[in-house]
Amino acid sequence: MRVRLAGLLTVGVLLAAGPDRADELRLELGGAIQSDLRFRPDDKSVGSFYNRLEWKPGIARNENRLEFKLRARYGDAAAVVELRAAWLGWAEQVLAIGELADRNRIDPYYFEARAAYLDMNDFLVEGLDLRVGQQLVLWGVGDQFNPTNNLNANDVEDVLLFGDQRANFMVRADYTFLDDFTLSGVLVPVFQGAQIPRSSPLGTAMIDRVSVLEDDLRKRIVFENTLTSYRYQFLGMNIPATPAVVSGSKIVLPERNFENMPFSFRLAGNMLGQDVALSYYRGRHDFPQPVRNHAHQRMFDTPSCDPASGVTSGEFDPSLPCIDGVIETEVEMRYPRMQVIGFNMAGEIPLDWIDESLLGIGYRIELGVYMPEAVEFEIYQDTMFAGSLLLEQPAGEYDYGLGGEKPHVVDERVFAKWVVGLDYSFGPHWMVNLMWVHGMADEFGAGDFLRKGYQLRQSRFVGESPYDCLFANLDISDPDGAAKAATVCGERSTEEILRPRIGDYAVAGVDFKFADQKALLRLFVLWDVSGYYRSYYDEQAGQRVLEYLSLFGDGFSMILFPEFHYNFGNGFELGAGALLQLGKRFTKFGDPAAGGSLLWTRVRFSF
Amino acid sequence: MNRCGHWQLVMMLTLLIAVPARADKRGQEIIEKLDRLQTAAADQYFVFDMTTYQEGKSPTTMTLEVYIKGTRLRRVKFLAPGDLKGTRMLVRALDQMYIYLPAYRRVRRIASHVRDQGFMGSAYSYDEMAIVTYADVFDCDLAAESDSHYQLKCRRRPGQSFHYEVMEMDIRKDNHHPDQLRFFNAKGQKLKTDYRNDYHCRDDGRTCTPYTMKLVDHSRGDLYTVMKLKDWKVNTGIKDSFFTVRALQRDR
Repeated sequence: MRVRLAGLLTVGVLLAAGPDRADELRLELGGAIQSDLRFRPDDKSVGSFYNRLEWKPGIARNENRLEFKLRARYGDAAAVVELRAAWLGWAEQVLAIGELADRNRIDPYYFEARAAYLDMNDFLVEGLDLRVGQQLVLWGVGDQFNPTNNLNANDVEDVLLFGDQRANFMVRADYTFLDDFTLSGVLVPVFQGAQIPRSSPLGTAMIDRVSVLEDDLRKRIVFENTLTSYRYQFLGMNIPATPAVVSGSKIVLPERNFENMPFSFRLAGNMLGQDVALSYYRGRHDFPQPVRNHAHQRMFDTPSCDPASGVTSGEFDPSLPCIDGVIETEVEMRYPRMQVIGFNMAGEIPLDWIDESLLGIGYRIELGVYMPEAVEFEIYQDTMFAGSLLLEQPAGEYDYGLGGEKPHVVDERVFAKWVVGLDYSFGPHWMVNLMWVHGMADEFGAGDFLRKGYQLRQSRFVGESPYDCLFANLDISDPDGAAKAATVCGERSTEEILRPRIGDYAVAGVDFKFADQKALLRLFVLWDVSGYYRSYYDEQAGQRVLEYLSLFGDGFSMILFPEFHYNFGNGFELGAGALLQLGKRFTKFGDPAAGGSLLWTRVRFSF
Repeated sequence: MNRCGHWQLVMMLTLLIAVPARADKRGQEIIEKLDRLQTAAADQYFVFDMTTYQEGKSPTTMTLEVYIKGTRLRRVKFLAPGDLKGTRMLVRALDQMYIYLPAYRRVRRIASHVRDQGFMGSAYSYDEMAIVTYADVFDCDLAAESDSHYQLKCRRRPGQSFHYEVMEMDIRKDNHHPDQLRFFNAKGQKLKTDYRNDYHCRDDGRTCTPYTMKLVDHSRGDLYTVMKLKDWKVNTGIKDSFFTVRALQRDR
């Protein structure tokens, strides 16, 4: 087997050697073997005893993978295949005894086609290139942060491969004219959504992050979620605790029809030594947004109490950490439509006017102007507290109190994301890369330091008892009295942590190469400088106020990413490092759904 | 040869201190002729094995193919080892360079500051890999002449960003190509020595190239890199469109 592999490689190299000749088939083969071992030092488990999701310290990844590449070229045509097979290292599911005999169950794996396309150059007319098949179209000039890379879906499953994208089937045509200018058009027959991190399901346990934009309604929902999770006794009546939980989610992909085919155009060229491009994309955002909740109240036969408290269910006692049921919520999510006008520019700024020995500094600018489709949000429920004279709510659509309008999770205001970067080398050992990133891949919707618009990161009820607040503000003669009272209580008794919907990040990377460039020490720092705000009702002022949380205090959120690589030569590499995600749980990087910190090692052999 | 080189170096440094840098006509004619010979072919194609040796360490080898056209267009593609395989570079001008990294599957513009970085751990820098013609970068004097060689002493022209302030070049009279280049910093310290041997000629002797090149980096403990030419073609008819970002992305 080893001899055959070596023979294949030799053939590949021999065939690859020499300049192109139209009548010669050129084959190039390659690939890699890679092993990843990662550890999670933090406990990022979330939820209460009734909706707990565990994310405990331990082994986070134990993955081996094989990559295979083939490129065949004949004249002006080429075919490229890149396949990846990965063995995940352990079975996620508890196995039945019979499944221990099933290799696919005890040794889970996946395959991925990173590329599988045909290239036709100078097709029909000189300068026209056609590429058809599974491919990536990466037009953004930014490093890893690319607001104009919209054709492929983001692949953020592996946080260490930040900026990676999923290959997708596309038809791409490029026409090059005047040597330096290219007009491109790409059609994506079937839209794909982003591949999200393995830690993403943790986000579903954080039901306090209500995504509704309308302030009063959002605070009212936060209040009502709090209310239903409390037990209460009123006029001899026991009101059970039935907290809301996310019991399931349904991701609705767009129908596969002509209307839902994303497409894009771009004009790119070089002007005065600078690379400049303008692009237009029409398609969808690749991270799904919630569009519909359906709530169903399920009562338990016997109450369930927090095992950590040692309490067992007994008589109805509001002071005990027990619940009597749950409000199961099914979330439906869809991919909102959007259009993006993109601008890219890269080049270098000469510095020899300062000193002849100074070489040019590299710069890159990438701007995406997003025009989103407004996304409405609907809430439906089955009958709640059935049979209760005071609390029963009929089945149907929730009363939003918006005069017949539906609330939104995305409004139609235009917003922008951008990356501005500089890079420079200091001698043979040091290289520095600085970036200002405005908007990460998962951020969507207007709201930044230019235009107001916030995302709820955490909320909580800060009064003594939500029912006391409700009844104190309830006008029983008003049919909408309960909703109005909940709105008042939401306004006055909820504390929110808010953040601009589009964040700002200061990014700095430093490379230090040594041992004749075999060894690399790299430190990357991403500092979230968006700003976090505590929103609460100020009794003295008689209104809600926003309190800025210091970037060095509660509002601190940062990624530190030190890594070490050693290249032994001849394709053998070793790497180790840490991805430290710092900050409180409501922050971007302290968020449990971001997966927490990692310690990692990697060995790789490429051939 | 080495002794002779040192003696001439001392003499040249003395001259350097005494005389303001200004090319003499003869020296400039010789370097311009070399440039004409080096660019006589419309285009050239090379495949090199590039092996770097350092005392006490195992040698490391890369294989790369290089296309050049005219005085500025250049494409490099790495064929081995596996971790570099598929990496491609395009030089359209010293301030317009691009790299295609297969791991990222995209073309990235690189600024000229990367020329300060070494070339893949070898003794070569990007400057030494990229320079095609010398007369536009250096002003040269004829420092010495023997039956077999011209020895040029060259100073970097004002406004040029080539890494080395001073270059000495020994040019063979038989084929008018250099067999040794020495690079110095402004303080007169010798930083690198470039040996070029085993010249072969094509195109009725109009285009010659060394089959073995050895570059010694004196600033890194005399680490050295040997480039052995495995394949060489001239006037292959490659088009200008090969030296575009479009072609780099598509590996044409």
